Amino acid sequence: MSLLEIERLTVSFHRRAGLLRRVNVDCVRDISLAVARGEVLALFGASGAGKSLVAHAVMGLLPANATAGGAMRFDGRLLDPPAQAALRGSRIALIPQSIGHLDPLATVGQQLRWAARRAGHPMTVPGAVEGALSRFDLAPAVAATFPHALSGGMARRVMLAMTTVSGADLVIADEPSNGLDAENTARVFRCLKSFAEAGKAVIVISHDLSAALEIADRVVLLRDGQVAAQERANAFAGDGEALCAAYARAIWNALPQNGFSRGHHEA
Amino acid sequence: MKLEASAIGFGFGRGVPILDGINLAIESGRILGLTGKSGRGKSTLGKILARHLLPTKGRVLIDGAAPASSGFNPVQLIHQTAIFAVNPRWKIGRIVSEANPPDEMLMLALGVRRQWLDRYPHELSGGELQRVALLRSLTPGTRFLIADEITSMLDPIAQSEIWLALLEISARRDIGILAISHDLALLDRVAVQTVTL
Repeated sequence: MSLLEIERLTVSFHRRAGLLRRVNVDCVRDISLAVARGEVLALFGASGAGKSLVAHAVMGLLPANATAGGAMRFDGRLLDPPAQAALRGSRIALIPQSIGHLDPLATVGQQLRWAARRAGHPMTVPGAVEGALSRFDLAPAVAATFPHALSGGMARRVMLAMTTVSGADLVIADEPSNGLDAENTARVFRCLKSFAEAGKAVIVISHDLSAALEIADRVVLLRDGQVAAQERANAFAGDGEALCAAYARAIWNALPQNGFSRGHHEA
Repeated sequence: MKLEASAIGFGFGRGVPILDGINLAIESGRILGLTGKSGRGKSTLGKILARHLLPTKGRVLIDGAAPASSGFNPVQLIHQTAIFAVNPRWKIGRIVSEANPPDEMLMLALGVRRQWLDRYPHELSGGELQRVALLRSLTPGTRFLIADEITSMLDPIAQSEIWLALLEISARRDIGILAISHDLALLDRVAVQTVTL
């Protein structure tokens, strides 16, 4: 059974048009997807396709002028605003796109302890912080440092460590490889894969398809706020013949290792 | 024409130099790839070639001579995040006309749409803004382009569209390009040769 099920999710923004008229703009339309424990789902799309909005809708963190329609279920339970508030940071964790979400005024160790306490299992054993860091190749000394002294790759791994101490069942990583080199990208993605291997459900939002395919089981391709295709990750291997949707084939063809062709696909 | 880095060295303060004794030549109408791990100085070398930074050792030469220190810079630098390279309070139309009025053919080739000209930078997507940055930099006086991870934040379709346009422009206008990237598959596709730092 799926841990998270999203059914016909729509996210609309309300905007004022003139003095009295208000307009609704649907940025996400009719998105249905599901992710099970032990599975890595990659959410892929061009910028503006609505990838992050889906994540924020799941977390209940949409901006004030946006509303979500449709239904979401987590572990069989309806994911409404009170449920989201209760599960956020404990059973559902979001690794945000920007490493600027780390608190600049607290040490890494302090932030790890806060994350654990918020999730309801505070770290009491000495060395627990260092242990959590070491799982992501971070030295014990990192616990005493402030975020500004971390490199981009280290800061990402600190956020991954915060996710593990929270013990979340569903991990959503929004563009985890932004600004990282190939080596650090591979490292962060391996950490995400290990979450799935430990029985969590993982959603990776990425525009870096090649990196995401390394760990994903399935890929959902978003385009203009809608699901353009759902493919098995291994369908992108080889000659791409196994890909069903036209948009998926256009993406495959545009990859430099394949055709590197312009995106000629039906609109 | 040839843009050369001759025995370039660079370091911050008294620390270990980032670059030491680097020689590199970019020829007109050709695309040279530059790759290497983070922190090896790829972007620093790009900035030095475009004279956004002065090297602590060595020289940058155009056809064997030191480039003019004033006037239009024939070596234009484009980097990963276009949003930081444009004035947020200017509309796109003003941004692309800063050096020269934009060429219609070039607009078409890069896929810059007319309706964007009346918008502000934050009203365009990353891929759209990168096309705008390229349009601005490819003025008639531009001889070389330093393309520092210009498509790494874009989807594969936007990436291939931009690079296919650049390949064509480079050949037609005899512009030399240094393509800095971590993506070896991309460099294989666009560059005649790739240097690892």
